[in-house]
Amino acid sequence: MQRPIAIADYSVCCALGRTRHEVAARLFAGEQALSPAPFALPFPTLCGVVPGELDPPPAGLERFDTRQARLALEALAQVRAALEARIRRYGAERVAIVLGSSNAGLDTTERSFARYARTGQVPPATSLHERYAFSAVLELLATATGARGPMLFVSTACSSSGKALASAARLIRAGLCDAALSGGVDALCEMTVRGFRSLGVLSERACRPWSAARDGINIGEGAAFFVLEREDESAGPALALLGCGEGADAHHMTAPHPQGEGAERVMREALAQAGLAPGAIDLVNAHGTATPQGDASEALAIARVLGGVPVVSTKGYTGHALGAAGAIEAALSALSLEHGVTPASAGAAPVDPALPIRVVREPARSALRAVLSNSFAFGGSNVSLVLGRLA
Amino acid sequence: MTALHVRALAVWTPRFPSLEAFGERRASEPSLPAASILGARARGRASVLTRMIAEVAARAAEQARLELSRARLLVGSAYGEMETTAQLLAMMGEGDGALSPARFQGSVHNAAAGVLSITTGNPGFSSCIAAGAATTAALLFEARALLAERGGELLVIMADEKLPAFFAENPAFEPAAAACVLSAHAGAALATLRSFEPAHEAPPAALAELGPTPVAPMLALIDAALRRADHVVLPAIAGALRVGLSYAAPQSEDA
Repeated sequence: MQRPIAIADYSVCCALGRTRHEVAARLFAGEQALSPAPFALPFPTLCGVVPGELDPPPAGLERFDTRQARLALEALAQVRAALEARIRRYGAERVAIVLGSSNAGLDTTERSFARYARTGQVPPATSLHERYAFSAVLELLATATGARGPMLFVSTACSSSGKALASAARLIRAGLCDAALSGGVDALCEMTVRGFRSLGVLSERACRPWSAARDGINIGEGAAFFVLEREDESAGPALALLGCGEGADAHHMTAPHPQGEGAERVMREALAQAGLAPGAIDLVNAHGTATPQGDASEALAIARVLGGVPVVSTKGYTGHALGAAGAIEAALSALSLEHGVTPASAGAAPVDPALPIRVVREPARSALRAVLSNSFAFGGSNVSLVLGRLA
Repeated sequence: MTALHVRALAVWTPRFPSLEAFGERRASEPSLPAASILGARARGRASVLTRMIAEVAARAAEQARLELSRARLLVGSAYGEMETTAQLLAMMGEGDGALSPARFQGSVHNAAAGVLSITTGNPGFSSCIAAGAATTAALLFEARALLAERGGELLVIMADEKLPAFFAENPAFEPAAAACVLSAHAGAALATLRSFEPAHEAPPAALAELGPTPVAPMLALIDAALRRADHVVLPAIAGALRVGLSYAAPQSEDA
């Protein structure tokens, strides 16, 4: 068992809305937020697009302007006060920034590349260091917040931000920092939509995790940030990151292990880190992307580890936000804990009778003790998080 | 604070294809990494970045007598699979913009870690990180936290391939990969990374032989260990990190 890490504050910005309040209202009302892709594609699909115009970086930081940077700043704004309080309390060198992303600044670079392909000229706004590289958002946030502790992006495709939260918790437990801004951010990119189409796993309609009619995923975007700190410093009664499990399928680059063996291992590791028995988990926010194979293998793993626990996939509301998905779904799990509401698994009806799990069909109000959230990725990278309350 | 004991080192670049060649700056005709651990089929599909990572992983693991099927793996790369990403960007502008599924799955930052995990049947911990020029410093922070959490040993790799033509306005650099096996236990250490403090001096300039590769700080760390230097300064996102090194006293001949 590992020490819990307190969640001092958290934010979420996704297709459901740009604040915790907006997201909770629409999630618990069962409103799906999928819409046509915001760019031209030679095939139909739906995407989870963050609504409205996002503000550019402030004066002096315009050179970092990408959609990824704007999403990061949107998520930062909601937790900024909590973060600045930790910087004052612990000192800037003791506050880390540990984020997850799969795409980095690809959203902007793909537009620059299209112009380059047409003209042979690299557009002037193109910058490897300030608009493409992962480090751009680290530099932006370090400058914007004044934090000077350890800084890194975890990039393991769709498990990135779940693993970033695990990494931040580890840094705090090891005494390498006292608090961390952690979570994930990814902007919608044409390349990833086309890429999942090339793999034959992109749905042309709203995705339907767990449904007998499921036929693939929708791509989404967004950001979710957590301010994490040592549990003994928390003013409480805080939510907490209780445990994390990380591992690999060692099976295939894009297909999950058919029996969900890798998924099972990380769920068991997360429970062990949290010091919880399976019966203490009241809800699973599953990876649940709505691919036939992925949902089937995850369901087998959940059933073996957690029996008949209620299971929801929130990707029917938000789409799959790739590298940001782990953090967004951790934030949605935190909203469930905070509000005592279990959302319905959007698009699930009729539930596939072959899946040995208890899919949540209607929203329900009841106090939750702990929620387990899964994220699985290309390369067989798996992460499972357990969120709950400080004892 | 956790000290990191270095049990093995490995370097591969096209002109310095071994630790010894790098240490002596003995350049040879450019070559490709053999990456024989991947097997012919996976090697044929692999990018230069993935091949480099596989090559230094195998060499460092062999030196440390670490089984790759059980090793925990931490990979750093400032930019990741750039050549594959550039190929996908080009495909988007051709015909109806259909992408190659093999290229797409190979474009993620953790492609090499995934290939290694699958090739060696390793279901254990692996992670991949990026922090630009500060990636080596970030690897050391993550390594210290991991070894504090889990103990044992950790295979740490830093690699970047050359930039595609689209980014040619940036100074060119050679592909490079470097690896070390770090341990929580002091036995048989080549060197010990014993202190980690904010630096009051600037990191050293890039290695003239390789250009401004993001792997330069890892190579500087390895160079310091080879030359038994007492410290090395690594760039961080905010400031710089001074890493203090120490070495076990050499055993006498008649001991």
